[in-house]
Amino acid sequence: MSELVVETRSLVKRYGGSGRQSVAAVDGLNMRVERGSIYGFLGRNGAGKTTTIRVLAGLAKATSGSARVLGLDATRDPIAILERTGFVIDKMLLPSMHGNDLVRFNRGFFPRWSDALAKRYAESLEIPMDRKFKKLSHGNKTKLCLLLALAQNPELLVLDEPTAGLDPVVTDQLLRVLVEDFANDGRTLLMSSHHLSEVEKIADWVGIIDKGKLLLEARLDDIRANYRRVRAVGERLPQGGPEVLTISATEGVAEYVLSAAAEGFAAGLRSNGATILDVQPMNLSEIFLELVGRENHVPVEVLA
Amino acid sequence: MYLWKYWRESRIVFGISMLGIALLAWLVLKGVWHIGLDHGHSGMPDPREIAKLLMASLYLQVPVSAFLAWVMGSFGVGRSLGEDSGSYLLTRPRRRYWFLWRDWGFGFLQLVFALILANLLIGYLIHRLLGAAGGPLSGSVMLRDVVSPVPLAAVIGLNCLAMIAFAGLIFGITYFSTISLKHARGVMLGAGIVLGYVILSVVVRHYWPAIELPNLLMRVFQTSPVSNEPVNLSEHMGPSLAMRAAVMMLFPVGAQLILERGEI
Repeated sequence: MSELVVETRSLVKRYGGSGRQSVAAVDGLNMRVERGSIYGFLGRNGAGKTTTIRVLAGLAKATSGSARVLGLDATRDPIAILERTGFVIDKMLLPSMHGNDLVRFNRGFFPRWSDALAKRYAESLEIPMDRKFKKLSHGNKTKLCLLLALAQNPELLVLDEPTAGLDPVVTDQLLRVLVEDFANDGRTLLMSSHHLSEVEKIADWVGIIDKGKLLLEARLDDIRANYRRVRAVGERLPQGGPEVLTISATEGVAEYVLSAAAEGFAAGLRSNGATILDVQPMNLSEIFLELVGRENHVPVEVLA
Repeated sequence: MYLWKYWRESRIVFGISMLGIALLAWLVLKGVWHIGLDHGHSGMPDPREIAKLLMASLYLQVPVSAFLAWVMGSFGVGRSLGEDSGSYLLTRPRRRYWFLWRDWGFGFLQLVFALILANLLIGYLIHRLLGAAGGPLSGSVMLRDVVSPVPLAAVIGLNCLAMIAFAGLIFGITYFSTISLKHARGVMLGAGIVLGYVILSVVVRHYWPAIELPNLLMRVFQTSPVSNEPVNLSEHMGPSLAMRAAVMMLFPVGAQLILERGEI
């Protein structure tokens, strides 16, 4: 079994006290990130991604459940976690410091800090290090945040919406650095996003969260290989099944989204007299919309 | 390295305060600013004038040091939280109290340094006045109700301690407020708390004369109820100072509790 660098068990984070008016930003989250993987943590705005990351970083305390990072408890051992993990959450550094000042400021905090890496990323990402943080463009601010996280030489990098608001060129620059320089080195990247195409480009695992619950956690390759949409017409069509993620019906056509064994499922429908219109592979974006774009979800589906 | 962050934030204010003290020193040393004292029949300065001057110097420092402490209290973690860089700062691998006590300690140290310097200057100015007058007054202060002269250094020291306790309190209240609100508005809250307390003291004194709220500034001199001039050193200054130090420390401790329990 692979080593887990992030693991949450029944993680709950509620805001607004413990009464009826409290809101669960994270609601029983069971998340598993394997060492060496690139994990795309997907969800709409307000789905619970940032709250989960804040709990992992020790910035927020879980209401119940547990969160472990690099085998350490996020509540009890935050310092040991922070020494070995690079977090980029709000993309806001100390506004009046220059890039070079921020490098100098960070250096003393991290035992594995590398000035050479900082210099290298400053050059390759073309960051104006002699300009104050508050005067940098949005893209350069994000790049500088990433530079500081990378130069601390972390085992795990946790990024919250790193490409939000960036133009395609900067996005491509960042993703290349993350994959080629960081993840290819066998280190783990956990990245939240709602830009599915970017995640699909680089991730090998995805987790889809909505309303604080993890709806899906699977290898991207498994999704590509196994997830199918089956459209069928007929009477007495089944209303569920072990591999069925969602079911919908439009104008007499039933649409099933299956996490596996689509051909077998289609054969079963045929044997019950149904007509199969098509069995189509699905991309991440379609699966995301099926899971998150609907009101009623079939609960968590985990492919080990 | 972290102290360097606080220093970057506070250095302009600290530099201005040093410049102010340097300017004052220059004015005094060059003789541009001359303080005249009433001389008695003997041709010597009236001893009561020196005591009055010492008390006035204490009150003159109040607005300046309050402002300095207020501004200094606005720097540090609270400021970072207000600038939305709290999640960055507090994901540096240190306990939250580590940041807080470095801010508070370094800020307080700068305040203490500025206040000691200012009081040394005041002491030197008065020493020169006494020295110029010559005679038995040199190096000491006469108070009406005290038989033997009080060493000038002791009075200056007490003034300095009173100012440090006062400025430390304002500094702590402001620092606490910025942490509690996680916003720059905390600076205004800090000022509001202090001003509110002063107004409350006035109201209480007016309507309930029997009740006296503790003064924000430690009383160094006993004053004559008639002329309001200093007649003696205050009693129980040791316990008063200890109490003030304890109250002063409540604010950073409170700020620590809030920061440790708070969510960023």
